[in-house]
Amino acid sequence: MFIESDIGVRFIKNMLKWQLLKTSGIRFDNILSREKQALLKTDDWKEWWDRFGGRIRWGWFAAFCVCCLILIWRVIPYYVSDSYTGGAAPLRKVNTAEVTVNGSKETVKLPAKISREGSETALQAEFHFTNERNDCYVEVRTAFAPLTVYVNGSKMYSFGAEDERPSFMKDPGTAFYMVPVRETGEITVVLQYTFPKTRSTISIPQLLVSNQSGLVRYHTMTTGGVLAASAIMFLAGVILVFVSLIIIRMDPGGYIFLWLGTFIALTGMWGFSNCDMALFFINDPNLWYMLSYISFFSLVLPLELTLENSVKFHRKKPLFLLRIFLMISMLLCVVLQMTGTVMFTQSARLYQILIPLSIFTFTFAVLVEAVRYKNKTGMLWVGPMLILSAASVAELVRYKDAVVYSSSQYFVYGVMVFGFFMCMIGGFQIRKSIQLSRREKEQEYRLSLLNREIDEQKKYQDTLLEHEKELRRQRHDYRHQLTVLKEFADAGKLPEIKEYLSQLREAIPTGKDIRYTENPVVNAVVGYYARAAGNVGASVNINISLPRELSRSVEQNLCVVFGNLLENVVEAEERIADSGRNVEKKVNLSAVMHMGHLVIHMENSMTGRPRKWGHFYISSKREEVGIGLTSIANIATMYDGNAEFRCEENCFISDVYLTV
Amino acid sequence: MEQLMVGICEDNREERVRLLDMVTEAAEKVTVEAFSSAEEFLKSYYPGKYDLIILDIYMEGMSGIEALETVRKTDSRVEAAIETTSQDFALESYRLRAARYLEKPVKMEDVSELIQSVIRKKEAEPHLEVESEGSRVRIPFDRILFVEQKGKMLWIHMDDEREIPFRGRLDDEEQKFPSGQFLRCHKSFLVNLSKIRGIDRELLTFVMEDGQNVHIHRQGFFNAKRTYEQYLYSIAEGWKNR
Repeated sequence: MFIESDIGVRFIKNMLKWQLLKTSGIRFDNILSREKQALLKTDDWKEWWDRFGGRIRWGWFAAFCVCCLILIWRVIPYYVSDSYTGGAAPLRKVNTAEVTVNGSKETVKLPAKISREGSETALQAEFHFTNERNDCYVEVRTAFAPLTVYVNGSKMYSFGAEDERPSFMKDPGTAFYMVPVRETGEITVVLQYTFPKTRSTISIPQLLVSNQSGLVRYHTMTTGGVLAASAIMFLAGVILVFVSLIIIRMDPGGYIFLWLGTFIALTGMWGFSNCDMALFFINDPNLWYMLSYISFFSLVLPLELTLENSVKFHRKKPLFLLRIFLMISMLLCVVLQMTGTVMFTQSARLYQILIPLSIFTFTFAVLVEAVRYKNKTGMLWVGPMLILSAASVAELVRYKDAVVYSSSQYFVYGVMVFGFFMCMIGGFQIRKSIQLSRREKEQEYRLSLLNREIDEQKKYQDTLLEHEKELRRQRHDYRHQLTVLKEFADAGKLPEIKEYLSQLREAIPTGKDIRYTENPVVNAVVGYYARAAGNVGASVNINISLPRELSRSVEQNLCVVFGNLLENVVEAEERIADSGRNVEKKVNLSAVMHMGHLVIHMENSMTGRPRKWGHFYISSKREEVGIGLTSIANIATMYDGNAEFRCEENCFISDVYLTV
Repeated sequence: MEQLMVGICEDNREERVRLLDMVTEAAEKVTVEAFSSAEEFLKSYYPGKYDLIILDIYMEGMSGIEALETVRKTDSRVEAAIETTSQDFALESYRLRAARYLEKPVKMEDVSELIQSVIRKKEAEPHLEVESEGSRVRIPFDRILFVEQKGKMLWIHMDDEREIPFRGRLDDEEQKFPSGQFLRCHKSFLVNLSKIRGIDRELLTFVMEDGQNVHIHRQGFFNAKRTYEQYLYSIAEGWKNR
């Protein structure tokens, strides 16, 4: 992987070098040999063409482009013409209505917000239009105000009666309804709104007139995008949460993703439940009312937690206090709503200020962290947080201006961009943290190997001492034996001399310790694990050819390589023993010097198969990124080599080479 | 049969003469040179000089093992035998690819067996025969570094700095080389994998034993690198199983 990108870089470098040489007027031949020139002169365009996959991949790419063009070409008419799909009729908006409040009648331009002036409880809006269609529908919408609809005097629809909603809801949720109009000609539609208990205004939207598919088309065109985006975000957030659960098991940095996922999912839910079109899917205004407000109130909490987990703030207190406050106030709001004391619509007034304010605070905190403490992660966060702040400002302005607020699109899109950035930043951080922890473990492992080496050396010295004692004894014996021989010779006893000599020959001491390689340090480590593997009952066959003298750092790294390889083997053989399967336990390790490279080939029996996570191998016994194989590969790359691991039936094969 | 070249390095005079006699007797066409110390031996040594060297382990000054170590730095091909009394240097001689031990005192049958095996090996050595500059040349594959196409001629670069030209096209001649050992890494290069010292990633070349660069086709770089690595692994795998 690295090498591939490397090549690309080198390719560009070569190109640049070439350009430079050409322009600087230095003669080519002096600098580059003829072969190298030939290499550089090869057709660059063709190189590039082949590098990106040749004919086949380009063919696929072209096919994809053609498909896209066809798709776009087919879709354009849907946006241009008014009557294209599913018999959708053109949409008409009735912009004026005669509004009666407190008995006084006046013509109002819509959409409009009518405030309650006195103690009146109801409001009546009268619409007039001419209908020529026989499949005509009008769409009416109400937010929190009970509504009854009359068409040409007959009652067609009523919404928001006390018994239609749970007792803790003082007002109904937001609803819209398509009322059929059967008559043709002059039509009068009368909407009777009842003022909500918790608000002093009623929003009257324009009356939409079309057939059913025309109305659906209108909604899809206006809020379909936000709806789809919200749904995607919700799903993405949920998936991210699940993925984070896996990541957390390997690295605590995964909490960033957990909270980020929750934030994105909540925003998605808020966006979705805030869309009028959600009612198409589940026609329960009360449900969407609850979901919309709860997700809205709680979405800054996971945002704060993501921030706290990702940026290690120097001053943690303020944000912590803010979080506690947000948590308490949210719980309070839920309790007040559930007891029917204060509606969400009322507490939302507080939150409309609180949420942008929190986001600004977070942005400020991140800015302080980045500027004052030069915190790297803090700097990464600045961009996304500014985007989020901008999005919340835009949303706030839109809400203030809108008479009819039907979706929270700016915020949803803002969070989408934010989430995208954050996923990248989070991934970045986790990668870093995993690398760090791996390096720590490697260090630890190196230390433990060092200790083992010291132990082995002590043992070695003990045996040397033992040998010296033995030698002293032998010197003593030597004199004695010569005396015996002399006596035999004096007496002329030739057969006895022969007999005695052959006895002596057998008594020559032989080395007991198995020497696997000339290098004592590597030998110590290999010997340790070979014994351990032997103890598990594996047949061990190790041949390592290494020079006696190696530099200290090479020696240590080789210890890590051999130690890791053989430790894995011992574990694998233990697992075979535990599983009780009838697999022959064996390990063949051979390492040979070739042209300054040490080439290692190892085969060992195993059960199961190794798991990989990207570049990292996952340890079989612990649920975490294993350091063994990865650190071997690291060391190999460090010494201009490479490592390869593969698995055949019940056999794990490791190949490593490095320049010693 | 060509002349067999043997070098002997032994500090004990009697033993040296004995060994000299035995080697001379063991084969018909043999040239023997004997030295009384490792230093003296190394002074006149160059890669490819001998087919076989016989070294005593314990000598005044440099030991036989050390001498062999020096030899192996430049010559991986020459056969070597070590005179010894014990098996204590098994690991060293494995690493330095010493053909066998000659247990002291050296016996005639051991020497003649050794010489015969070297001769057999030399004769059975896989080789290429080409018509070069009007004469037939026998080229052992193990001594080829790489083959290069220059115009209508192929140049065989040998490990002793000889370059043997002959008429031919690499596309046709490629099949005559053992495929496991030789890799076509470029339009005009065929390389002996066992003579590669490393890869130069800047220049995209194989660096050979003697420092020469052999170009790798750019698109084939990963494949060439991989083939080379697989070859390396196969050395370790085949070691001791030979």
